[in-house]
Amino acid sequence: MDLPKCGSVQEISNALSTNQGSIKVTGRLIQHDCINRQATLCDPQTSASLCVDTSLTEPLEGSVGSLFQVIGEVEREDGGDTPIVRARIMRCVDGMDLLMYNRALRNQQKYFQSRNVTLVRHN
Amino acid sequence: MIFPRESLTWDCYCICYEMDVEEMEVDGTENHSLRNDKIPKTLCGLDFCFHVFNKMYIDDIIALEKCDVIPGMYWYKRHPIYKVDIMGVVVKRQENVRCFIYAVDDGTGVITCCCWKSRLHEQSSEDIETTLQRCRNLPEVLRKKMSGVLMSEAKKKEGYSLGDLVHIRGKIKIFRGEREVVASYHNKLEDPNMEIVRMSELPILYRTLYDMDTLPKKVLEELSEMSGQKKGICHGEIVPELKKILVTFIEDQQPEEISVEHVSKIPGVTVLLKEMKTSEEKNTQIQSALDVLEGEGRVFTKQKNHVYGVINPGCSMERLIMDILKRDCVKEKFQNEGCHYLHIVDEVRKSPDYSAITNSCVLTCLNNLEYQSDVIRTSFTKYFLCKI
Repeated sequence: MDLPKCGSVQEISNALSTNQGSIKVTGRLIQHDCINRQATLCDPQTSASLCVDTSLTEPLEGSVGSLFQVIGEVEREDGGDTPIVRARIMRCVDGMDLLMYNRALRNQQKYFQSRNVTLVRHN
Repeated sequence: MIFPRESLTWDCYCICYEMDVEEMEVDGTENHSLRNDKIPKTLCGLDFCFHVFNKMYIDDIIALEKCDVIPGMYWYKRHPIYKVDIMGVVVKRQENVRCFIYAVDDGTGVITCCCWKSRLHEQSSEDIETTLQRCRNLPEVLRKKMSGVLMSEAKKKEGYSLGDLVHIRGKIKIFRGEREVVASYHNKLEDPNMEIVRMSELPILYRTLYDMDTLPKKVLEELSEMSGQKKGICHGEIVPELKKILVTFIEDQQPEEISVEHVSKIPGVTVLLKEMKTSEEKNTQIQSALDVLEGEGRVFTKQKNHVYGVINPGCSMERLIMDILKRDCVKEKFQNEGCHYLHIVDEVRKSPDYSAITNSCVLTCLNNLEYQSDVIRTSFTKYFLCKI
Protein backbone atom coordinates (compact mmCIF):
# COMPACT_ATOMS: atom_id res chain seq x y z
CA MET A 1 0.00 0.00 0.00
CA ASP A 2 1.52 3.35 -0.87
CA LEU A 3 1.75 5.30 2.27
CA PRO A 4 2.15 9.05 2.18
CA LYS A 5 5.48 10.22 3.51
CA CYS A 6 5.78 11.09 7.15
CA GLY A 7 5.68 14.80 7.91
CA SER A 8 8.60 15.65 10.16
CA VAL A 9 7.56 18.24 12.71
CA GLN A 10 9.19 21.61 12.26
CA GLU A 11 8.79 25.22 13.19
CA ILE A 12 7.91 27.68 10.48
CA SER A 13 11.30 29.35 10.63
CA ASN A 14 12.99 26.00 9.94
CA ALA A 15 10.50 25.12 7.26
CA LEU A 16 11.47 28.24 5.33
CA SER A 17 15.00 26.93 5.00
CA THR A 18 14.35 23.21 4.24
CA ASN A 19 14.67 22.18 0.66
CA GLN A 20 12.25 19.39 0.11
CA GLY A 21 10.30 16.71 1.83
CA SER A 22 7.19 16.37 3.92
CA ILE A 23 6.76 18.56 6.95
CA LYS A 24 4.25 19.34 9.62
CA VAL A 25 3.98 22.96 10.77
CA THR A 26 1.70 24.72 13.20
CA GLY A 27 0.72 28.34 12.90
CA ARG A 28 -2.04 30.89 12.88
CA LEU A 29 -4.03 31.41 9.70
CA ILE A 30 -3.64 35.06 8.73
CA GLN A 31 -5.04 34.93 5.24
CA HIS A 32 -7.16 32.49 3.30
CA ASP A 33 -8.04 32.92 -0.35
CA CYS A 34 -10.58 30.25 -1.34
CA ILE A 35 -10.61 31.14 -5.02
CA ASN A 36 -6.88 30.99 -5.57
CA ARG A 37 -6.54 28.27 -2.92
CA GLN A 38 -3.77 30.02 -1.07
CA ALA A 39 -3.34 30.61 2.62
CA THR A 40 -0.73 32.17 4.85
CA LEU A 41 0.33 30.68 8.13
CA CYS A 42 2.16 32.70 10.74
CA ASP A 43 4.12 31.69 13.80
CA PRO A 44 2.76 33.83 16.66
CA GLN A 45 6.11 34.09 18.45
CA THR A 46 8.62 34.65 15.70
CA SER A 47 6.08 36.09 13.25
CA ALA A 48 7.63 34.18 10.38
CA SER A 49 5.07 33.40 7.75
CA LEU A 50 4.66 30.60 5.27
CA CYS A 51 2.58 30.22 2.14
CA VAL A 52 0.32 27.22 1.89
CA ASP A 53 -1.34 25.82 -1.20
CA THR A 54 -4.67 24.44 -0.11
CA SER A 55 -5.92 22.85 -3.35
CA LEU A 56 -6.22 19.44 -1.74
CA THR A 57 -7.84 20.57 1.46
CA GLU A 58 -10.58 22.97 0.40
CA PRO A 59 -13.12 23.72 1.85
CA LEU A 60 -11.46 24.63 5.09
CA GLU A 61 -13.16 24.20 8.42
CA GLY A 62 -12.32 27.06 10.68
CA SER A 63 -11.67 30.66 9.89
CA VAL A 64 -8.89 33.19 9.70
CA GLY A 65 -7.30 33.66 13.09
CA SER A 66 -7.43 30.00 14.18
CA LEU A 67 -4.42 27.85 14.80
CA PHE A 68 -3.82 25.30 12.08
CA GLN A 69 -1.51 22.35 11.69
CA VAL A 70 -0.47 21.63 8.12
CA ILE A 71 1.06 18.40 6.84
CA GLY A 72 2.40 18.60 3.32
CA GLU A 73 5.30 18.77 0.94
CA VAL A 74 7.59 21.78 0.70
CA GLU A 75 8.17 23.00 -2.80
CA ARG A 76 10.13 25.90 -4.09
CA GLU A 77 8.49 28.10 -6.67
CA ASP A 78 10.35 28.80 -9.92
CA GLY A 79 11.99 31.82 -8.34
CA GLY A 80 13.70 29.63 -5.78
CA ASP A 81 13.27 31.89 -2.78
CA THR A 82 9.86 31.47 -1.33
CA PRO A 83 8.91 27.98 -0.32
CA ILE A 84 5.31 26.92 -0.56
CA VAL A 85 3.72 24.01 1.24
CA ARG A 86 1.31 21.82 -0.72
CA ALA A 87 -1.00 20.90 2.12
CA ARG A 88 -2.34 17.37 2.25
CA ILE A 89 -3.88 17.77 5.69
CA MET A 90 -5.06 20.99 7.34
CA ARG A 91 -6.10 20.48 10.90
CA CYS A 92 -7.64 23.09 13.18
CA VAL A 93 -5.90 22.96 16.56
CA ASP A 94 -7.58 25.82 18.40
CA GLY A 95 -6.88 25.51 22.08
CA MET A 96 -3.43 24.03 21.67
CA ASP A 97 -0.85 25.61 23.91
CA LEU A 98 1.88 26.66 21.47
CA LEU A 99 4.51 27.40 24.07
CA MET A 100 4.11 23.92 25.51
CA TYR A 101 4.13 22.47 22.02
CA ASN A 102 7.41 24.14 21.13
CA ARG A 103 8.94 23.02 24.39
CA ALA A 104 7.84 19.42 23.87
CA LEU A 105 9.15 19.60 20.32
CA ARG A 106 12.54 20.80 21.47
CA ASN A 107 12.75 18.02 24.05
CA GLN A 108 11.87 15.46 21.43
CA GLN A 109 14.53 16.78 19.08
CA LYS A 110 17.07 16.74 21.91
CA TYR A 111 16.26 13.11 22.57
CA PHE A 112 16.64 12.18 18.90
CA GLN A 113 19.96 13.97 18.73
CA SER A 114 21.24 12.08 21.77
CA ARG A 115 20.15 8.84 20.08
CA ASN A 116 22.15 9.67 16.99
CA VAL A 117 25.13 10.48 19.15
CA THR A 118 25.11 7.04 20.80
CA LEU A 119 24.80 5.37 17.42
CA VAL A 120 27.83 7.23 16.16
CA ARG A 121 29.79 6.27 19.27
CA HIS A 122 29.30 2.58 18.65
CA ASN A 123 30.09 2.78 14.99
CA MET B 1 4.44 32.21 34.18
CA ILE B 2 1.65 30.92 32.03
CA PHE B 3 -1.28 29.27 33.75
CA PRO B 4 -2.80 26.51 31.68
CA ARG B 5 -6.54 26.62 31.27
CA GLU B 6 -7.62 23.06 31.74
CA SER B 7 -6.51 20.21 33.95
CA LEU B 8 -5.31 18.24 30.92
CA THR B 9 -2.77 20.87 30.00
CA TRP B 10 -1.68 21.00 33.63
CA ASP B 11 -0.49 17.37 33.39
CA CYS B 12 1.66 18.04 30.40
CA TYR B 13 2.89 21.25 31.96
CA CYS B 14 4.16 19.19 34.87
CA ILE B 15 5.81 16.72 32.52
CA CYS B 16 7.57 19.49 30.63
CA TYR B 17 8.78 20.99 33.89
CA GLU B 18 10.13 17.62 35.05
CA MET B 19 11.98 17.23 31.79
CA ASP B 20 13.80 20.51 32.12
CA VAL B 21 14.81 19.82 35.69
CA GLU B 22 16.39 16.40 35.21
CA GLU B 23 18.64 16.49 32.21
CA MET B 24 19.13 12.78 31.78
CA GLU B 25 21.95 11.67 29.58
CA VAL B 26 21.72 8.32 27.87
CA ASP B 27 24.65 6.21 28.98
CA GLY B 28 25.35 4.14 25.93
CA THR B 29 28.60 2.65 27.14
CA GLU B 30 27.00 0.31 29.72
CA ASN B 31 25.44 -2.43 27.65
CA HIS B 32 27.80 -2.44 24.73
CA SER B 33 29.06 -5.97 25.23
CA LEU B 34 25.61 -7.49 25.82
CA ARG B 35 23.87 -5.54 23.09
CA ASN B 36 23.41 -8.43 20.69
CA ASP B 37 22.11 -11.05 23.10
CA LYS B 38 18.37 -11.38 23.46
CA ILE B 39 16.51 -12.61 26.53
CA PRO B 40 15.68 -16.32 26.18
CA LYS B 41 12.12 -17.20 25.25
CA THR B 42 11.14 -18.49 28.68
CA LEU B 43 12.08 -15.24 30.41
CA CYS B 44 10.28 -12.88 28.05
CA GLY B 45 7.31 -12.75 30.38
CA LEU B 46 9.42 -11.09 33.06
CA ASP B 47 9.72 -7.99 30.97
CA PHE B 48 6.98 -5.41 31.45
CA CYS B 49 7.02 -4.58 27.73
CA PHE B 50 5.59 -8.02 27.00
CA HIS B 51 2.39 -7.28 28.89
CA VAL B 52 1.72 -3.63 28.12
CA PHE B 53 0.59 -1.53 25.17
CA ASN B 54 3.90 0.22 24.58
CA LYS B 55 3.84 3.92 23.75
CA MET B 56 6.41 4.28 21.02
CA TYR B 57 7.41 6.40 18.06
CA ILE B 58 6.02 5.06 14.81
CA ASP B 59 9.51 5.25 13.34
CA ASP B 60 10.67 2.75 15.94
CA ILE B 61 7.71 0.46 15.42
CA ILE B 62 8.53 0.21 11.74
CA ALA B 63 12.16 -0.49 12.54
CA LEU B 64 11.49 -3.20 15.14
CA GLU B 65 13.43 -6.41 14.69
CA LYS B 66 11.43 -9.58 14.26
CA CYS B 67 11.80 -12.32 16.85
CA ASP B 68 12.60 -15.76 15.39
CA VAL B 69 11.68 -17.73 18.46
CA ILE B 70 8.20 -16.38 19.22
CA PRO B 71 5.88 -15.59 16.29
CA GLY B 72 4.28 -12.17 16.52
CA MET B 73 6.96 -10.81 18.81
CA TYR B 74 9.36 -8.02 17.97
CA TRP B 75 12.45 -6.72 19.70
CA TYR B 76 13.18 -3.15 20.66
CA LYS B 77 16.74 -3.26 21.97
CA ARG B 78 16.27 -6.08 24.47
CA HIS B 79 12.56 -5.71 25.14
CA PRO B 80 10.00 -8.06 23.60
CA ILE B 81 7.12 -6.05 22.16
CA TYR B 82 3.95 -7.11 20.46
CA LYS B 83 1.39 -4.50 21.49
CA VAL B 84 1.75 -0.78 20.85
CA ASP B 85 -0.04 2.45 21.65
CA ILE B 86 0.20 5.24 19.08
CA MET B 87 -1.24 8.69 18.74
CA GLY B 88 -1.18 10.54 15.48
CA VAL B 89 -2.98 12.27 12.66
CA VAL B 90 -4.94 10.32 10.07
CA VAL B 91 -3.30 11.00 6.71
CA LYS B 92 -4.98 8.35 4.62
CA ARG B 93 -8.36 6.74 4.95
CA GLN B 94 -9.75 3.69 3.25
CA GLU B 95 -13.08 2.07 3.97
CA ASN B 96 -13.66 -1.62 3.29
CA VAL B 97 -16.72 -3.74 3.92
CA ARG B 98 -15.53 -5.03 7.27
CA CYS B 99 -12.90 -2.55 8.38
CA PHE B 100 -11.37 0.88 8.09
CA ILE B 101 -7.73 1.26 7.17
CA TYR B 102 -6.07 4.46 8.29
CA ALA B 103 -2.51 5.63 7.79
CA VAL B 104 -1.43 7.37 10.98
CA ASP B 105 1.40 9.91 11.11
CA ASP B 106 2.88 11.05 14.41
CA GLY B 107 5.72 13.18 13.06
CA THR B 108 8.32 10.41 13.07
CA GLY B 109 6.75 7.89 10.72
CA VAL B 110 3.59 6.61 9.07
CA ILE B 111 1.98 3.24 9.73
CA THR B 112 -1.27 1.66 8.63
CA CYS B 113 -3.86 0.79 11.23
CA CYS B 114 -6.76 -1.55 10.71
CA CYS B 115 -9.91 -0.78 12.70
CA TRP B 116 -12.51 -3.52 12.45
CA LYS B 117 -16.11 -2.42 12.15
CA SER B 118 -18.50 -3.41 14.89
CA ARG B 119 -20.82 -6.25 13.86
CA LEU B 120 -23.65 -4.66 15.85
CA HIS B 121 -23.65 -1.64 13.56
CA GLU B 122 -24.19 -3.88 10.57
CA GLN B 123 -27.24 -5.46 12.09
CA SER B 124 -29.09 -2.50 13.60
CA SER B 125 -30.51 -0.49 10.75
CA GLU B 126 -32.85 1.59 12.88
CA ASP B 127 -32.78 5.30 12.53
CA ILE B 128 -32.00 7.59 15.43
CA GLU B 129 -35.47 9.11 15.27
CA THR B 130 -37.29 5.78 15.44
CA THR B 131 -35.27 4.74 18.49
CA LEU B 132 -36.00 8.05 20.16
CA GLN B 133 -39.68 7.62 19.36
CA ARG B 134 -39.64 4.34 21.20
CA CYS B 135 -38.15 6.00 24.27
CA ARG B 136 -40.82 8.67 24.55
CA ASN B 137 -41.77 7.42 27.98
CA LEU B 138 -38.38 8.04 29.51
CA PRO B 139 -37.70 11.17 31.52
CA GLU B 140 -36.17 14.14 29.72
CA VAL B 141 -32.65 13.70 31.08
CA LEU B 142 -32.45 10.10 29.97
CA ARG B 143 -33.81 10.93 26.55
CA LYS B 144 -31.08 13.52 26.06
CA LYS B 145 -28.48 10.99 27.19
CA MET B 146 -29.94 8.44 24.79
CA SER B 147 -29.75 10.81 21.83
CA GLY B 148 -26.17 11.69 22.79
CA VAL B 149 -25.19 8.03 22.88
CA LEU B 150 -26.90 7.35 19.54
CA MET B 151 -25.13 10.32 17.93
CA SER B 152 -21.72 9.19 19.12
CA GLU B 153 -22.41 5.65 17.88
CA ALA B 154 -23.42 7.01 14.49
CA LYS B 155 -20.18 8.98 14.37
CA LYS B 156 -18.19 5.86 15.19
CA LYS B 157 -19.91 4.09 12.33
CA GLU B 158 -18.69 6.70 9.86
CA GLY B 159 -15.10 6.37 10.97
CA TYR B 160 -12.47 9.05 11.32
CA SER B 161 -11.71 11.59 8.62
CA LEU B 162 -8.42 12.97 7.32
CA GLY B 163 -6.74 15.21 9.83
CA ASP B 164 -8.27 13.71 12.95
CA LEU B 165 -6.04 13.11 15.93
CA VAL B 166 -6.53 9.46 16.85
CA HIS B 167 -5.33 7.28 19.68
CA ILE B 168 -4.88 3.65 18.70
CA ARG B 169 -3.83 0.64 20.73
CA GLY B 170 -3.26 -2.72 19.15
CA LYS B 171 -1.04 -5.57 18.10
CA ILE B 172 1.60 -5.43 15.41
CA LYS B 173 0.84 -7.73 12.51
CA ILE B 174 2.20 -8.21 9.03
CA PHE B 175 -0.37 -7.83 6.29
CA ARG B 176 0.64 -8.33 2.68
CA GLY B 177 4.27 -7.91 3.53
CA GLU B 178 3.91 -4.63 5.44
CA ARG B 179 3.78 -3.99 9.12
CA GLU B 180 0.48 -2.69 10.45
CA VAL B 181 -1.28 -2.20 13.75
CA VAL B 182 -4.55 -4.03 14.20
CA ALA B 183 -6.49 -1.83 16.59
CA SER B 184 -8.19 -3.29 19.63
CA TYR B 185 -8.94 0.20 20.92
CA HIS B 186 -9.27 3.35 18.85
CA ASN B 187 -10.62 6.75 19.67
CA LYS B 188 -10.66 10.24 18.22
CA LEU B 189 -9.17 12.91 20.44
CA GLU B 190 -10.87 16.27 20.43
CA ASP B 191 -8.28 18.08 22.53
CA PRO B 192 -5.15 18.93 20.49
CA ASN B 193 -3.12 19.21 23.67
CA MET B 194 -3.13 15.42 24.01
CA GLU B 195 -0.59 15.41 21.23
CA ILE B 196 1.65 17.58 23.37
CA VAL B 197 1.20 15.24 26.34
CA ARG B 198 2.29 12.31 24.21
CA MET B 199 5.23 14.22 22.74
CA SER B 200 6.46 15.08 26.24
CA GLU B 201 5.91 11.57 27.64
CA LEU B 202 7.76 9.65 24.98
CA PRO B 203 11.36 10.85 25.48
CA ILE B 204 11.03 10.19 29.23
CA LEU B 205 9.65 6.71 28.62
CA TYR B 206 12.41 5.93 26.21
CA ARG B 207 15.18 7.16 28.46
CA THR B 208 13.92 5.49 31.61
CA LEU B 209 12.37 2.30 30.27
CA TYR B 210 12.96 1.28 26.68
CA ASP B 211 16.62 2.12 26.49
CA MET B 212 17.30 0.42 29.80
CA ASP B 213 17.25 -3.29 30.51
CA THR B 214 14.58 -4.77 32.75
CA LEU B 215 16.66 -7.54 34.23
CA PRO B 216 19.57 -6.60 36.49
CA LYS B 217 23.03 -6.53 34.99
CA LYS B 218 24.30 -9.61 36.83
CA VAL B 219 21.38 -11.74 35.65
CA LEU B 220 22.02 -10.69 32.06
CA GLU B 221 25.70 -11.56 32.34
CA GLU B 222 24.86 -15.00 33.69
CA LEU B 223 22.36 -15.55 30.91
CA SER B 224 24.86 -14.64 28.22
CA GLU B 225 27.43 -16.99 29.80
CA MET B 226 24.93 -19.82 29.95
CA SER B 227 23.77 -19.35 26.40
CA GLY B 228 27.41 -19.47 25.32
CA GLN B 229 27.88 -22.84 27.04
CA LYS B 230 24.75 -24.68 26.06
CA LYS B 231 24.73 -23.43 22.49
CA GLY B 232 21.14 -22.41 22.22
CA ILE B 233 19.44 -24.75 24.68
CA CYS B 234 19.26 -23.27 28.13
CA HIS B 235 18.68 -25.28 31.24
CA GLY B 236 14.96 -24.76 31.46
CA GLU B 237 14.36 -25.94 27.92
CA ILE B 238 15.79 -29.46 28.19
CA VAL B 239 12.69 -31.03 29.75
CA PRO B 240 10.25 -29.69 27.10
CA GLU B 241 12.61 -30.90 24.35
CA LEU B 242 12.84 -34.32 26.00
CA LYS B 243 9.08 -34.42 26.23
CA LYS B 244 8.73 -33.73 22.51
CA ILE B 245 11.16 -36.54 21.67
CA LEU B 246 9.29 -38.93 23.98
CA VAL B 247 5.92 -38.08 22.47
CA THR B 248 7.16 -38.76 18.91
CA PHE B 249 8.77 -41.99 20.11
CA ILE B 250 5.53 -43.14 21.77
CA GLU B 251 3.46 -42.30 18.73
CA ASP B 252 5.83 -44.05 16.32
CA GLN B 253 6.66 -47.19 18.23
CA GLN B 254 3.62 -47.53 20.54
CA PRO B 255 5.41 -49.48 23.26
CA GLU B 256 3.48 -51.02 26.10
CA GLU B 257 5.98 -50.00 28.71
CA ILE B 258 8.70 -47.47 28.96
CA SER B 259 11.50 -47.12 31.48
CA VAL B 260 14.18 -44.57 32.23
CA GLU B 261 16.98 -46.79 30.81
CA HIS B 262 14.93 -47.38 27.72
CA VAL B 263 14.49 -43.64 27.22
CA SER B 264 18.18 -42.87 27.66
CA LYS B 265 18.93 -45.21 24.73
CA ILE B 266 16.73 -43.30 22.24
CA PRO B 267 19.11 -41.60 19.76
CA GLY B 268 17.56 -38.13 20.04
CA VAL B 269 17.82 -38.19 23.81
CA THR B 270 21.50 -39.19 23.83
CA VAL B 271 22.30 -36.23 21.60
CA LEU B 272 20.36 -33.84 23.82
CA LEU B 273 21.85 -35.03 27.06
CA LYS B 274 25.40 -35.66 25.95
CA GLU B 275 26.62 -32.49 27.61
CA MET B 276 25.57 -33.76 31.00
CA LYS B 277 28.36 -35.48 32.83
CA THR B 278 26.73 -37.83 35.32
CA SER B 279 24.08 -40.38 34.46
CA GLU B 280 22.21 -39.28 37.59
CA GLU B 281 21.64 -35.84 36.11
CA LYS B 282 20.45 -37.41 32.89
CA ASN B 283 18.09 -39.68 34.76
CA THR B 284 16.59 -36.81 36.75
CA GLN B 285 15.89 -34.92 33.54
CA ILE B 286 14.28 -37.98 31.97
CA GLN B 287 12.29 -38.55 35.14
CA SER B 288 10.96 -34.96 35.07
CA ALA B 289 9.96 -35.33 31.42
CA LEU B 290 8.12 -38.55 32.24
CA ASP B 291 6.40 -36.84 35.17
CA VAL B 292 5.19 -34.11 32.85
CA LEU B 293 3.81 -36.77 30.52
CA GLU B 294 2.10 -38.45 33.43
CA GLY B 295 0.46 -35.16 34.32
CA GLU B 296 -0.80 -34.91 30.77
CA GLY B 297 -2.14 -38.44 30.81
CA ARG B 298 0.15 -40.18 28.39
CA VAL B 299 1.92 -42.58 30.77
CA PHE B 300 1.27 -43.98 34.21
CA THR B 301 3.52 -45.47 36.87
CA LYS B 302 3.31 -49.20 37.24
CA GLN B 303 3.88 -51.21 40.38
CA LYS B 304 7.57 -51.79 39.63
CA ASN B 305 9.82 -48.79 40.13
CA HIS B 306 10.82 -46.57 37.24
CA VAL B 307 8.68 -48.41 34.75
CA TYR B 308 5.90 -46.49 33.11
CA GLY B 309 3.00 -47.95 31.21
CA VAL B 310 2.03 -46.09 28.06
CA ILE B 311 -1.54 -45.25 27.16
CA ASN B 312 -1.93 -46.19 23.51
CA PRO B 313 -5.00 -46.96 21.50
CA GLY B 314 -5.58 -50.63 22.19
CA CYS B 315 -3.93 -50.91 25.59
CA SER B 316 -5.16 -53.15 28.37
CA MET B 317 -6.79 -50.32 30.33
CA GLU B 318 -9.21 -49.87 27.46
CA ARG B 319 -10.51 -53.41 27.93
CA LEU B 320 -10.89 -52.73 31.64
CA ILE B 321 -12.86 -49.53 31.01
CA MET B 322 -15.09 -51.26 28.46
CA ASP B 323 -15.83 -53.99 31.01
CA ILE B 324 -16.68 -51.39 33.66
CA LEU B 325 -18.97 -49.53 31.28
CA LYS B 326 -20.69 -52.75 30.10
CA ARG B 327 -21.35 -53.63 33.69
CA ASP B 328 -22.57 -50.21 34.79
CA CYS B 329 -24.46 -48.82 31.82
CA VAL B 330 -27.24 -51.33 32.30
CA LYS B 331 -27.77 -50.22 35.89
CA GLU B 332 -30.68 -47.90 36.47
CA LYS B 333 -28.54 -45.12 37.86
CA PHE B 334 -26.49 -44.81 34.70
CA GLN B 335 -29.03 -45.79 32.11
CA ASN B 336 -30.01 -42.28 31.08
CA GLU B 337 -26.83 -40.32 30.78
CA GLY B 338 -23.98 -42.73 31.27
CA CYS B 339 -21.19 -42.90 33.84
CA HIS B 340 -19.43 -39.86 35.16
CA TYR B 341 -15.73 -40.09 34.37
CA LEU B 342 -14.74 -39.84 38.02
CA HIS B 343 -16.87 -42.91 38.72
CA ILE B 344 -14.94 -44.71 35.98
CA VAL B 345 -11.66 -43.54 37.58
CA ASP B 346 -12.77 -44.96 40.95
CA GLU B 347 -13.63 -48.30 39.38
CA VAL B 348 -10.33 -48.44 37.50
CA ARG B 349 -8.42 -47.73 40.68
CA LYS B 350 -10.06 -50.75 42.33
CA SER B 351 -8.02 -53.09 40.14
CA PRO B 352 -4.51 -53.81 41.46
CA ASP B 353 -2.62 -52.85 38.28
CA TYR B 354 -3.93 -49.34 38.11
CA SER B 355 -4.28 -48.41 41.75
CA ALA B 356 -2.45 -45.08 41.47
CA ILE B 357 -3.65 -43.96 38.10
CA THR B 358 -4.24 -40.26 37.48
CA ASN B 359 -7.50 -38.75 36.21
CA SER B 360 -5.81 -37.47 33.08
CA CYS B 361 -4.64 -40.99 32.12
CA VAL B 362 -8.17 -42.32 32.32
CA LEU B 363 -9.39 -39.35 30.29
CA THR B 364 -6.79 -39.99 27.57
CA CYS B 365 -7.91 -43.61 27.45
CA LEU B 366 -11.57 -42.58 27.21
CA ASN B 367 -10.65 -40.16 24.40
CA ASN B 368 -8.95 -42.96 22.50
CA LEU B 369 -12.06 -45.13 22.94
CA GLU B 370 -14.20 -42.26 21.66
CA TYR B 371 -12.03 -41.96 18.55
CA GLN B 372 -12.53 -45.65 17.95
CA SER B 373 -16.30 -45.13 18.35
CA ASP B 374 -16.59 -47.53 21.24
CA VAL B 375 -17.99 -44.97 23.69
CA ILE B 376 -20.03 -41.80 23.38
CA ARG B 377 -19.48 -38.71 25.45
CA THR B 378 -23.03 -37.73 26.35
CA SER B 379 -22.12 -34.61 28.25
CA PHE B 380 -18.99 -32.82 29.30
CA THR B 381 -18.21 -35.39 31.99
CA LYS B 382 -20.31 -38.45 31.23
CA TYR B 383 -19.60 -41.40 28.99
CA PHE B 384 -21.83 -44.10 27.58
CA LEU B 385 -21.23 -47.28 25.65
CA CYS B 386 -21.98 -47.37 21.95
CA LYS B 387 -23.29 -50.88 21.83
CA ILE B 388 -24.39 -52.90 24.81
